Amino acid sequence: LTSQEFQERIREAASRGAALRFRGGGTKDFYGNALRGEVLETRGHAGVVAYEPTELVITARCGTLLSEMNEVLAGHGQFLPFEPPGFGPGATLGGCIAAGLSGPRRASAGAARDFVLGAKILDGRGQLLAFGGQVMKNVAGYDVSRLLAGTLGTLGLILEVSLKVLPRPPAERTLRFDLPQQKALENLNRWAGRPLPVSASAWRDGELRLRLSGAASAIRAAMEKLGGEALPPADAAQYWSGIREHADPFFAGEAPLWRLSVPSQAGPIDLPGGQLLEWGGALRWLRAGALAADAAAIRAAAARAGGHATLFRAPDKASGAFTPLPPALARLHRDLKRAFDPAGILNPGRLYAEF
Amino acid sequence: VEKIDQMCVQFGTAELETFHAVKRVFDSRGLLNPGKAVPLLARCAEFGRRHVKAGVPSHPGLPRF
Repeated sequence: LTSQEFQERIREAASRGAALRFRGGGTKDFYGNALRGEVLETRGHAGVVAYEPTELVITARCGTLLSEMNEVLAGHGQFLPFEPPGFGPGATLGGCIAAGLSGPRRASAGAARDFVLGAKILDGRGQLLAFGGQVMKNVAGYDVSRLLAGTLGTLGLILEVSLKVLPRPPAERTLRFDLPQQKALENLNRWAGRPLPVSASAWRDGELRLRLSGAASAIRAAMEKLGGEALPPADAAQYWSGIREHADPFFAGEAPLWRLSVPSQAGPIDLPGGQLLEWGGALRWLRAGALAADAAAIRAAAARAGGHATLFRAPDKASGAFTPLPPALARLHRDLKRAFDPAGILNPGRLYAEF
Repeated sequence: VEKIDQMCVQFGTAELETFHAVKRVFDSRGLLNPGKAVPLLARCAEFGRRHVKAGVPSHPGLPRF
């Protein structure tokens, strides 16, 4: 589909007040609340529009496969520094930005949103809008292109995105430590305050793994300071890909998966169910048992720790995927939604039931 | 702030209207630094003005963008 055809579909749906939902590879259909509306496939609108390795920027259409993006970038020794999860081979760039999810490197490199330089979108009226550009210092106006990251298609259809990319680190090693959770968190927070090339961390079942990325000499020096046991590179690569793509055994099975976003300094959060910690302690995955009764307790525990909890994957999301917003924030969200999509037809209810 | 006049050229009416809509969401009465980050439409009009004397624009031969 061309942008004109998308435009006609959105205008036509807006005139009927009929809900639309955008779908690329469908790999993140599980994320957010229940899906509503006629499907508008974005995969046909694909391809890298521009890639300037020396300028560290790539522009591609929404339907471009994430795997293709990674391949094109790898051809020039570069990558998407936020290590977005695909959750399946069909994952597209549009879905990646709309979901706004980042992988293991997020704590050191930044989130999906931080790498968005510009975007072309169709809003809920079918208006073609272009925001931002292809350089970091494009400061005129509000950063609407970054606002889009994580909005799950509720503000507009992302047609094209420009992303900042970086060179792949020349060397990477992963260390393993046997540590209980409390001790692992203490170490992660202490290491975070020192000039160590830590690019990822994950703790589960009494075992902490730490990835170092950078110049070979810097990694050697850090390994001497940190100790631990170095993993064979192939095992390490498989491990981090398992964490990123949720292929790790921790994520297997049917138990509801919660995602707790808290300050990394927060101590262990005592909740029933297994936990996997990432991002130096700022991200805590929880496999909870029975659902409805637990939702309030899990959200309360996350709030006490200074964060919030998202019901990430679950057969039943009656309690809402995202933590309910306080009234003042809810009003801002609702009014922003209305500004972009006055008819309320774009992925309604996917983020919050109210819009 | 020094780029504000260029914004009228860089962005189309739809984008500028979106900026104003976003501003209204956070500042419905337009009290916070009005016309600073996003140009008011009057400013765009003023920026695009031409000097006209006796019905003839100045330097009519020069190309305008």
